[in-house]
This record gives sequence, structure tokens and C-alpha cells, in this order.
Amino acid sequence: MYSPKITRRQALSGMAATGVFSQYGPARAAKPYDPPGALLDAAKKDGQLILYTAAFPEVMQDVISEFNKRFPFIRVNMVRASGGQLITRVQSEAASGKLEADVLDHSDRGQTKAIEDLFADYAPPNAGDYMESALVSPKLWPTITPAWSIAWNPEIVKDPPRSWAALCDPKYTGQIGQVIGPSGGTTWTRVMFERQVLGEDYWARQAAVKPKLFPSGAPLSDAVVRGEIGIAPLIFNIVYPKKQAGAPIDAVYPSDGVPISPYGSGMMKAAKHKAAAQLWLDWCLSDEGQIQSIRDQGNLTALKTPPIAPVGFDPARDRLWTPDFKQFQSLHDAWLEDWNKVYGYRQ
Amino acid sequence: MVDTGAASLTASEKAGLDKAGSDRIGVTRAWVPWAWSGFLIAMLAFLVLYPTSMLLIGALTTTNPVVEGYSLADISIGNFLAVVMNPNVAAALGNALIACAGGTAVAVAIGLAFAWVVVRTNTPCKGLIASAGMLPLFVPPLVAGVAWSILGSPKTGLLNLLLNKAGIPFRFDLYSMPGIIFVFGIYYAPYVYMFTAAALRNMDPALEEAAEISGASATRTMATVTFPLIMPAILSGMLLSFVVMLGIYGIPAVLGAPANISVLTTYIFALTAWSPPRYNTAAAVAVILMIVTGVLVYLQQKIVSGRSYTTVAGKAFRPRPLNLGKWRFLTLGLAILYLFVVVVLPTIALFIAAFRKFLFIKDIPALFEAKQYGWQHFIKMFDNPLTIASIINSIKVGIITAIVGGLLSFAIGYTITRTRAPGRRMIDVITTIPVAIPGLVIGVAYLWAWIGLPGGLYGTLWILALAFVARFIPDTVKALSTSLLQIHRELEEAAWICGRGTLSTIASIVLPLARPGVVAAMTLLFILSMRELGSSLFLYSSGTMVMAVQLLGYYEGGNIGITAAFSLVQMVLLGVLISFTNWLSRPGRGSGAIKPDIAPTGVVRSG
Repeated sequence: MYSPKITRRQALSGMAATGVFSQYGPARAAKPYDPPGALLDAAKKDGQLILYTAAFPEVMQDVISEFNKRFPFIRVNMVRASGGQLITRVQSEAASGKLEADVLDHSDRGQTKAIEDLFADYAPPNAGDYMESALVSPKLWPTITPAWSIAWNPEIVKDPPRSWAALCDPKYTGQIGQVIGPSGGTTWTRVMFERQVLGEDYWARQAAVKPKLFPSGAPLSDAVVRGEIGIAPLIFNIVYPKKQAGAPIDAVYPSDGVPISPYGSGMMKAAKHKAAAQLWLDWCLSDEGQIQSIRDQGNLTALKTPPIAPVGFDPARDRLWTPDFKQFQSLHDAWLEDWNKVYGYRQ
Repeated sequence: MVDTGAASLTASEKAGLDKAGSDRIGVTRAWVPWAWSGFLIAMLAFLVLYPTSMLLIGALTTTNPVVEGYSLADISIGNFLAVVMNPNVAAALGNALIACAGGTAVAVAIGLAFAWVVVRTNTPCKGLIASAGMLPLFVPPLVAGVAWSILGSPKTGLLNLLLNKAGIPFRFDLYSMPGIIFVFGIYYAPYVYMFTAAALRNMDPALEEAAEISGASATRTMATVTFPLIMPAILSGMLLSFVVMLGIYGIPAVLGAPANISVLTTYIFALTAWSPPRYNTAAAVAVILMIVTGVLVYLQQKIVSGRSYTTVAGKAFRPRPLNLGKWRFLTLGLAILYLFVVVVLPTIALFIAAFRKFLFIKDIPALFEAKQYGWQHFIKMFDNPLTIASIINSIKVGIITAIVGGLLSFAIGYTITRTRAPGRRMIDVITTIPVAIPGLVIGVAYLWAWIGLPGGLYGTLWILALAFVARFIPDTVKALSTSLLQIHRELEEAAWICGRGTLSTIASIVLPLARPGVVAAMTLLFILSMRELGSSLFLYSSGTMVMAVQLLGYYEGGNIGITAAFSLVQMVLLGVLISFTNWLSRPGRGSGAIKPDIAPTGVVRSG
């Protein structure tokens, strides 16, 4: 079994900061979102906005429908691509002066931070309500905050694991599926959490139960529903809509920590529909937008205190974990190389 | 590739053609052929050479050439060295070669048998068998992979549930190398069929008759006379199916991923999907794939141009169908079995997935629980405005592609096959290049190449159509060239003698006679553009979502029900189109469509 060798510098940096554990504040009443009249008028004049997103199209279509219930005069045109393809497209379009996007939604804050200069200065009216650990740039905001859970198919798994530690239990050998480490920012967050919080040897212990590797969470969630895979760490927002629809899938937030991966979304400097883009972002980041994200999508929120209780989340017990952003960037390549070796993933 | 038909002409016909073409050019202004060739080369440079050069630059640098620019100082073979020395690339290449070689062997066995049954025997319902046997060509590979994963997953596959119910311990495992080989083989057998059926149809039966008169049994005649005579066609079909399989993403992606089997295309896709993406490395891997494909295409050309028409004689003949007696029902049964496996089973799987709420099927009785079925996936799919938008956009872009591509292909095909215009060999070679470029990578090359164009092309359906025209130009030119070569030169000569000019002759003689081929080529372009994913991924915009991208979105979203529902919609649309063109091609309508005897000219490929 491969055991990752870390350099002295990596070890020291790992000890210096290993992400932030936090818990939500006491419950509070949700604040209504009332955009200023001038913004509303300007947005009406824009009439549309172009949204580039790495989120799944079905999920974003639901968000757009909710937004349009409040603001039916804005047509939201969506371009969806996987994370890497989206960044390549944005960079190429921007370099040619043909960037079409007004808003970019992206799950990997590291990648959006790298193209920070393409974003306009923007902050939502409730900027102060957001956790500092979720913010990596004054231009980038967590419109969506997915959280990791452990999912299983209750038709075939009767004694599911409820913690990350339990995923190393040999009794689950051959039943677990995993998303590959290099899949994207959300998975990289989980990979960091496993090594920094659960121990240097966690990957090796977990790899010993021979998980099946999947390129991304969506096909893995489908494999769980079909019964191909019994158990899988999955982002809760992939599980929740399926569960709501009656699919044989269930999930819990792990008792030993809930890694969250706040999005890095923002308004593009070259936006042609700036008012509509601002209205969209303001609404998404408002209590109203976050309630929709929590209630309908199964996300958590990066607000210090959620405006409604997230489904299945116990604020008294469950602890959120956010990676240290410097390490999120600096450890990326070396640690993923280690992960690939430990899990025998070919890269 | 277009030498295919030229080689079919006898030496005297060739000489006549050359002389007539030469004479024709003689009466034309000297600069016109040069200007015409220059125009075509310029078009091809824009559509093919420029994007290909961007791909090579990407492979030789470590930057995005649009964002960071490039200079000679940046050029290095670092990516290639990294790729060549990476054992995972070697493993992916090895897996790809095994999967494609195995798939080709299966395809040859099925395709050859199928061709023999349809062309050379008196098996009943041959026409129906021949038409239905072509259907797999129009199923997107991703859909084929999904359908067979529903059928043959080792844990939850419907076939395994049936075996379990029957108390049979054997289990199918399509998530394996044999699984990939099997699905490759059955889906690409029509390629071998197309080539070998055409060769069998054109073969003079005199040698077979001689063998039979000499006392050879039917089997021996087949083994020692028939198959050796059509060996060039068999080799040609083999190489083509191998090349096409090498560029397919959908099937190995769905069936190989659960078993951790990586092939070159899935490796390239992973490189582009990782965070951050590695396009330069992907471009380097793609160049390796291009080299392998290029060598194979070259071999195919050599074989086709060297030997494939030795069976075509100058006298008229009609191959005599072999009377199989009672055995004809066995061949009919085998053909039906093949169609059941290739067409009916996957379609049933897609129907179940599309109409069932969730694809968790505990046992066979659970499969028939009526309450589990409904229209929910279709309702959700059509609730999404992008679904309808993508269908409309795909039809629009398909029409543009068919018209623009049809015109350009006709111009190129005519120039290559019926003129002695300068540079026509170069035009032929450039036209062939896109065959060798994997679709998953060419998309980013088009983006890099065309995003900087002045004007409002980027973000429109036209840029997608141009990419599709460029990507499928080898297919359509080949289709048209063969059609053009079937028109005897003397018809044009007669028009010239009557004082018609070149354009007038084309309009009044060549085009009407080549109309079946033109319609077939345009239909093929339409179908291919409806399926094409690789070049759409980077070129679609907020207003130009197309079906292939939408299908991938549903698949990547993990909703197999909607994926299956959308696949069925796509298949129905293509079915309607093919039926329409077949209706157009019925006797008395004076046109043509995709028919088994025309189809050898087309190469249905896309990841």
C-alpha cells in the first residue's frame, strides 16, 4: 500500500492551519429581499442576463424558475459546462474580447480566484452576514454552498456508515464508491479534509476497502440509486432531490465533520447586463435565495446563521469544515498526486 | 479516400476521363482552374488546416494559445515526452488497441455473415433485415453505452435478473474489456457489412460457378473463392471500423469506467475535465491518436485503391443467390437474433429507463410493477426550456450544415473526381485530415482557431455548422465522390459538344444524375450534426444549445431516466428523418437517401 510522503514544508504548513471548523449561530428570522427601485428599473431595462455555471443544468433551471417567480421580466440564459471546460471557455472568450457571461458560477474557488481580474467589484447587500472562511476574494461570493454527506441505498444496505471513520470499516469492502480526487474543487475539499482532519493514513485505510472510482458525483449517485454501489460519500444536493422524488437513496451528514465547498461566483467585468446580473447575485445571496438553495436543492449556506434549518443538519451536533484557502491552492497538485497513487487512480 | 471509385474504372475509361478533363480545361481560361483550386484550398485551410495547426501548437506548448499567445520560444516537445513516458497513457493506448482489435474481429464476423446472408442467399425478408441492420449506425455511442449498462451490469443488469430468475448461475458483465469489445463489435458491424455487401453485390459469380462445377462444396467455395475475392473490401471495412472505434468516447466511458478501464478517448476526456484541465496534454495525446489513425487511414487507402475492384468486370452480370433450401430459415433466425440483440434489446432498456421512476429493479417481478412507470422524465425534460431550444437549434444547425456542407462537398468531390484542376490531390489529402482528429479535442481547437475572427460569428449557430462541415467533410466528400464516379463521362462530353459550359453541364447533367448521392450526403451530414458532441462543447453559447450537449448535461447530471427519455426523442427524430429521406428515394421520386448500397460511402463517426 502506498503511503504518502510529505515534505517538511508541507507538514509544517499542514500543522500551521488545517482548515476551519465552525458551527452555525442561533436561529434567526429570515430577512426579506427588497431590491432598490433603481436597480429593479435598470434590471428591467436589461431584460436578460447570461449565466455561466458549472452546476448541473437541472438544478440551475430550478433556481432560475424560482428567481423568475420574483422577477419574471429577466430572462436567464444559461451556459453549462464542467468546471475545467468552463474556465477554458471564459479565459478564451475574455482574451478575444468576446466574453458573453454576465455572471460566472463556479464550484472551484481556486480556479475563479485565478481569473479574479475578469470579475467586477461586487458585494451583496448582506455581505457582512457571510462567514469569513467562505470568502476568498471581495469579488467572489458563495451563491451555493454544497456539503458532503454519506449516502447509501437503503434497499441493499441495512447498517449504513454514519461517519468518515466508518467508511474504513472492512465490513464495507467492495460496497463503496468514491469520486476521484482530481474531479474538481468540491472533491478536493473533501480530499483535504480527509487527510488534514481524519489523519495522514486515512486515504490508505479507506483505499483498503477497495472503493470503486467514479469521474464525478452525479453518475455515482445514479449508481447508488440503481444499486450498483451500496454506499458513497456524496454532495448532499445530489442526493436530496432524488430522495425527495422517492428514489431508494438516503444520506446523513457525517458525525466527524461536514466539509463544505462554498462557490466562488461573481459578476464579470465585461458584463453587458450589469443590473440584471446584480439583481440575480443579490437575490441568490439574500436570505430568500439561500432559503431556496437550502429547502429545494439540499445545500447548506455560508451565512453565519442559516435563515431556515437545513434538512437533515443538526446545528448543535454537526460541525462545518472549510479548508484554509492558501493550502487549498498550495497543496493541490502534490496531494492529489498522492491521492492518485494511494487509490490507484491513473492520471 | 476518394480514389476509391477512381480505381474502379477500367484503364481505358480512366484514359478517356483524363483526356476529356484535359480537353475541357483546355477550352477554359487558363487561370480559372487555378483560381478555383485556390478558392477550395483557402476554404479548407480555414476549416481544416487552421484548427489543426492550433491543435498542434497546443500540443507543443503549455499555454492556452488564445489567452497567453505563443511564440517559437514556447515550442517544446515536453508534452509529448511527458505523454510518451506516462505509463497510464501507454495503458490507455494498449487498452484502446485491444478493445478496437477485439471489436473489429467481432464486427468482421457479424458484418461479413450479415452481408453474405443479405446479398448472396435467398434468405427471406432480406430487404427488411438489411435496412434494420443499419440502425445501430444512427444510435449515439453514449446512448448505446447507457443502454447496454442497463442490460449488462453485473449487479443490476436486466439480463442478469432474467438469468437469476431462471436459476442460471452465469452472469453477464458488460463492465469489462470483453463487454466493451462486444458492444463495439455489434455497433460497428454495419461498417464491415457496408463494404463487403457492396463488394459481394458487384462480384462476378463466374469464379464461384467454376469452383462449384469443379466439385467444391458451398463452404469451400465461400472460403477459397468468395471471401478471398472480396478480401480488400473486408480489410477496408476492418480498418475503417477500427479507426472509428478508436475515436469513440461514449461506449468505453460508460462501460469501462466502472471497471477502471481507460482508453485513449476517455483519457483525453478526463484530461479536459480534471480541475484544472490539461488541454495541452490532451492535445498531445490527441496527436498520438491522430498518428495511429493516420497510419490506418493511409493503409485503408492503399488497400482500397490497390485491389478492391479486381472483381468488377466489363460485362453485365447478376450474382446468383445461393439457394439455401431449408437452411434459409436458420439464416433468417440468425439475422433476427442479431437484430434482436442490436436493436430490440437496447431499445427496450431505454424504454424501461425512460418510463420507470427509478432504475432500481430488485427482481423480475419488480420490473413489471405498473406503479413504477409514468411520464415523469418526459414531463421534467420538456419542462426545461433548454430541451425544446436544443431540439430546434439542432434541427436548424443540421439544415445549415447539410446545405453548406453539401455544396462544399459537391464542389470538392467534383473537382477531385471529374477535373484535372491543379492541386486536386492536395485538396483530397486536406479533406481527409479530420478523419484522424478525435472529436473531443477538435472542439477546443475550433474554439482557439475561430474565437478571434472578426464579426459576429462566435456565439451563433453558423459557427457550429462550420465546425460540423469541417469535421465531417471527409465523410460527405467520399459519399459524393463515389456517386459522381458512377456517372459516365460521355454524358458530360455530349453536353459540351452541344455547346454547354461547365457550370451549365454540372447543373443540367451532373447534379441531376448525382442527386441521390447528394441527398444521401446531405442526410448523412444532418444526422451527424445532430449527434456531434465534441465540437459542440466549446462552441455552443447561451442561445445555441444543441441536443448533444443537452444529452451530455442530463447524463453528467446523473439522471439516467431523463437521459434515456432524451435519447429516445433523439432516436425518434433521426428515425423520422431517415424515413423521410427513404420516402424521397422511393421509385418515381427521383432522389436518394441512406440506403445500404449507398451507405458504404459514408463514415458515421462521432464520440
